[in-house]
Amino acid sequence: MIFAKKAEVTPEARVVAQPGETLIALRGVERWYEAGGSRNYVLRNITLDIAAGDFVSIMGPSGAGKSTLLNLLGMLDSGWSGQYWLAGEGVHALPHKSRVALGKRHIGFVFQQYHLLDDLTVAENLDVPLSYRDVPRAKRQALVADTLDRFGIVGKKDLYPQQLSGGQQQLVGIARAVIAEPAVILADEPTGNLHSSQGREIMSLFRELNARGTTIVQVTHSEENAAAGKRIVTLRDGWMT
Amino acid sequence: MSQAIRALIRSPIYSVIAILTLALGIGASTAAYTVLNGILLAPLPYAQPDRLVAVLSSSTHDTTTGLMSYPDFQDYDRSQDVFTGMAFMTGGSATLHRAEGNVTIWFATVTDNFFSVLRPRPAIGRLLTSEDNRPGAPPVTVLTHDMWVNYFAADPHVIGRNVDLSTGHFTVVGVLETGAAYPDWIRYNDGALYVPMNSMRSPNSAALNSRASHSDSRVIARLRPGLTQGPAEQQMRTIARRLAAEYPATDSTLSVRLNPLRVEVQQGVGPALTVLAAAVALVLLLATADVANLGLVRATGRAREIAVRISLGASRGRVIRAMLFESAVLATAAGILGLSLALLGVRALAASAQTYLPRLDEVHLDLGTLAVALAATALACVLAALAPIAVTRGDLLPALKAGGRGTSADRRSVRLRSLIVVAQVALSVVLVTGAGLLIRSYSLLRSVDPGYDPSHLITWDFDTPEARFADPAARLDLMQRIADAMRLPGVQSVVFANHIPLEFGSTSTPVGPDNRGYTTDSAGAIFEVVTPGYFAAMHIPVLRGREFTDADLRSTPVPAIVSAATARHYWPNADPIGHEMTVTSAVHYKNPDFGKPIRATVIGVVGEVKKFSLDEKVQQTVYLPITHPVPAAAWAIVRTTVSPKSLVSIIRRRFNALDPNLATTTGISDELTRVDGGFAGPQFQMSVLGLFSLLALVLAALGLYGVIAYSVTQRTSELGIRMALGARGSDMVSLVARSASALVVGGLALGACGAFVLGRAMQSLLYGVQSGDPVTFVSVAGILMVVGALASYLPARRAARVEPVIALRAE
Repeated sequence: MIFAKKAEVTPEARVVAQPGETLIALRGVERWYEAGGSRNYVLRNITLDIAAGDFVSIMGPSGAGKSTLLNLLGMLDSGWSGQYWLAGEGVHALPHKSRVALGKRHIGFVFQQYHLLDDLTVAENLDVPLSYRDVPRAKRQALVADTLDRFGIVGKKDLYPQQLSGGQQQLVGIARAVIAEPAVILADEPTGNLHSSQGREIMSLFRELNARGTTIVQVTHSEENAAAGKRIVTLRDGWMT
Repeated sequence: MSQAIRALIRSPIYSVIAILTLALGIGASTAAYTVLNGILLAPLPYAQPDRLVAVLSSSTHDTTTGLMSYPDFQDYDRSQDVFTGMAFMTGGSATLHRAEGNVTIWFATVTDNFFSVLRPRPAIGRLLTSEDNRPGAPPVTVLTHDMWVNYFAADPHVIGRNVDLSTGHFTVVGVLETGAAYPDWIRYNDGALYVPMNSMRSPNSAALNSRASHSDSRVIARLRPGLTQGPAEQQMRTIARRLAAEYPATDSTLSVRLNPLRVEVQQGVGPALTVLAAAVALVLLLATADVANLGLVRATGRAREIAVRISLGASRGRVIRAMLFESAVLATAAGILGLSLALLGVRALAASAQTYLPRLDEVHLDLGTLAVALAATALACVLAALAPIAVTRGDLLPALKAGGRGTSADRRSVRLRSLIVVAQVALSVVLVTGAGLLIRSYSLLRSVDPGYDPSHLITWDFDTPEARFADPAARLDLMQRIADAMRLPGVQSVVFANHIPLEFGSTSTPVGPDNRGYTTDSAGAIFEVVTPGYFAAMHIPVLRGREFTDADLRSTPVPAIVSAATARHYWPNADPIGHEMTVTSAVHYKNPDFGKPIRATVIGVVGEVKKFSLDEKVQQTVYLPITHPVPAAAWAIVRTTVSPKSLVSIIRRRFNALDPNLATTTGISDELTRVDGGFAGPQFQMSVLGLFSLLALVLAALGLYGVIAYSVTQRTSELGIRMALGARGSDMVSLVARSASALVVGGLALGACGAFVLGRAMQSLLYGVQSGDPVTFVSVAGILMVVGALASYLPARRAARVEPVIALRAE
């Protein structure tokens, strides 16, 4: 067991689309880099619908464009063409600031390297996304306390990331991703740095979150992890296959 | 070595900034050391200069010191056995007749042993001896070096040439070495000469023989071998007590004090130069800290390269050696550039402080200064080399893995660099506060009311040629002719006085109010004679009674006007108008009646006027009509209704056309320009410290920028994560600003303590400002915060523009 106690996830995902309705829609999305006067395509003509409550695993060999697609979905990348609809809003038509605001409202991230902030404690790490959403301090404290409790990491709240195991760090990473109640969690190789039993625990947690209504899109190399999802999207050389 | 040069060429921005920063530090420190060496440290150009002392008359009332009368000098000299010799000199001015036009020059009449006590070396010829002072001896003179250069074109055959002065003809027998002229007023002019006391009828002879005259004299003495200043001073004080008992009217409040001649020559500029030295040391420290900081940046940036080299078999020593080589190349280049800057700096300092700093003619770059520059260079080199070495202390693996990002060595480096920046900010606070205190002090000093209105005035002094103006009536007539010549459109009035405010050279008189005789409870009052209309022309308020009219010039009893302080002191509870007083005729120059009592009746009370400087305490003053006596040297004062500058040239032409033998020592100028000249000292201190503090601010800002910019680079991935978690650009800016302000606030706190200590050391240079002046401290804090904000602006903007996807990839 990597958790002090089994995390109990409540169905708090923000309802931005009814289950089964399209939450994310990509139409002819392309991403390329200029190199030596020519274009190197990383994503080619991607058309994809993801429904609210879906659990999608993106698979493919290295360099296929999986992480690029995930970054694009998470508004971390802006140099692409085509149409991207999120919760009914046309991302492609929005200026940068509005895209960031939209992403902040609906999306939570889980990274392979956890990306916890080294100089902050577990509790402070959980507080970071809330502070960027202008949540009042009292409410933030309550939410952090609640999340620590839900994920069974109250005892670790004053520890720094370096004092945690990889699995514990990723658990904090997921807690941080869900604390702002996003509609979608984007996870880039969430178990890539964990051993298999820890990986299974994380997938189990994802399934529970998904069952409570959170849409999950993960990039993975692992067939076993992919099987935890409801469907698989495969990329090869930037193309969806 | 070639590798080191190649490495530096590959990083041109780093190399140029490092060399410039170090060169500035080295240049500033060498220039300042050169000036200090010339003024404070280099021995005076006299034989055994440490045995020379200045003998000063001092008041038993307070701590003021003054000059000694000739009769007192003679008594001291006869009674003492602690000196191998005591010498007296007094000054004067005369017209030098030349084919190119007459000029007024200064001369010093000296006792026969003057040069045997001082023991300077002649550059050409010989010095004056007792033979030259013998009655009937041919009149001879010794020129100062400046006199020889400026008036005799440095003629190597000057010995034997004739000097045609209004006071007589003299034959040149010698020229002093450069820098050997004494005292200060001889140095400050572009030429002066020494004549034996007996060879010239002194224009001050009446004053010279009066025990009450304490002006224009200098007494120097040479301590007997083996004797120190303390016992010598004790003996002199014993003599002073005897003189006080023998001559109570003039000497009862007098004692005597000895000053090493070096201190007297430095005349109070010691504290200013010490502040300058401290400022320069701080700037050098700042510069080396900046270079160390830059070195750290570069080394952390090269951590991976260093790690690869070590893993390929290079010894740590070899890596350190390579870095030391680079630092040596940097420091050598900076040393050469710094020395050039020092040469320019010395010239600039000498040009800006010509009228303020003594012994500037002795200041030149020498081997000692070169040694200081090299020492500074070596120090900078070692410090700059030490900084990168600190970085290579860590484990290699993290550096190899992370390519130099986010390793523990980096964190150590950031901590070290942050500490350096805190120290830099603290040093800047010290310097900027010092400059701020001087600026505050200067502005307070400039806002002091001098008691008269110097705007719309044109002023100059003039001396009357001896023979034709021996009669006071002729001198009065000359003043009338000058006044007539100045009747021009735009001229409101022309008045005369023996002294002008904010100028040294007045004399004081004891005061006997009513029939009480001279009081001994004060240092007396300044004695001035002025023409009717003087107070109206000067805009000095008449508080009671009236000012002088033409009728007062000949009336008896003599009418007197006193300053408010004089009235308060002698008639504290009464109206002084109508009261009688006794003063002595205290105009010493060519005044045969010097020292004679004058009975006068007070007819008016006027406002206080600053006599010598704006920071002086209130001086009591007694004014008499200009006929008591008609001064042989006076000030002409023209009140204008138009801009005085527009009239200066025409007034100069008219004055010169009046009489070719008339000469002015000060030149004709508008009064504000003359008054401004008196601020050379504070302006020099303020501008030097201001310049250094500006330099310090730039260096501190560079350091702060470096640290913040580097920490933004180090934290790129963290910033990316924060952006991915929803941070806005403004969140990033405030994050970076917080880091910067933590460093600035830390530096401010540390620097405030240092600034307080510096302020205490500078107290003697300050007027009206305390060392802990809150206005200055708060302003400095504000300035540093602004500089901190500016220095962190670019890194903060870069942080706000971090692309999360790139930042995360960097991890």
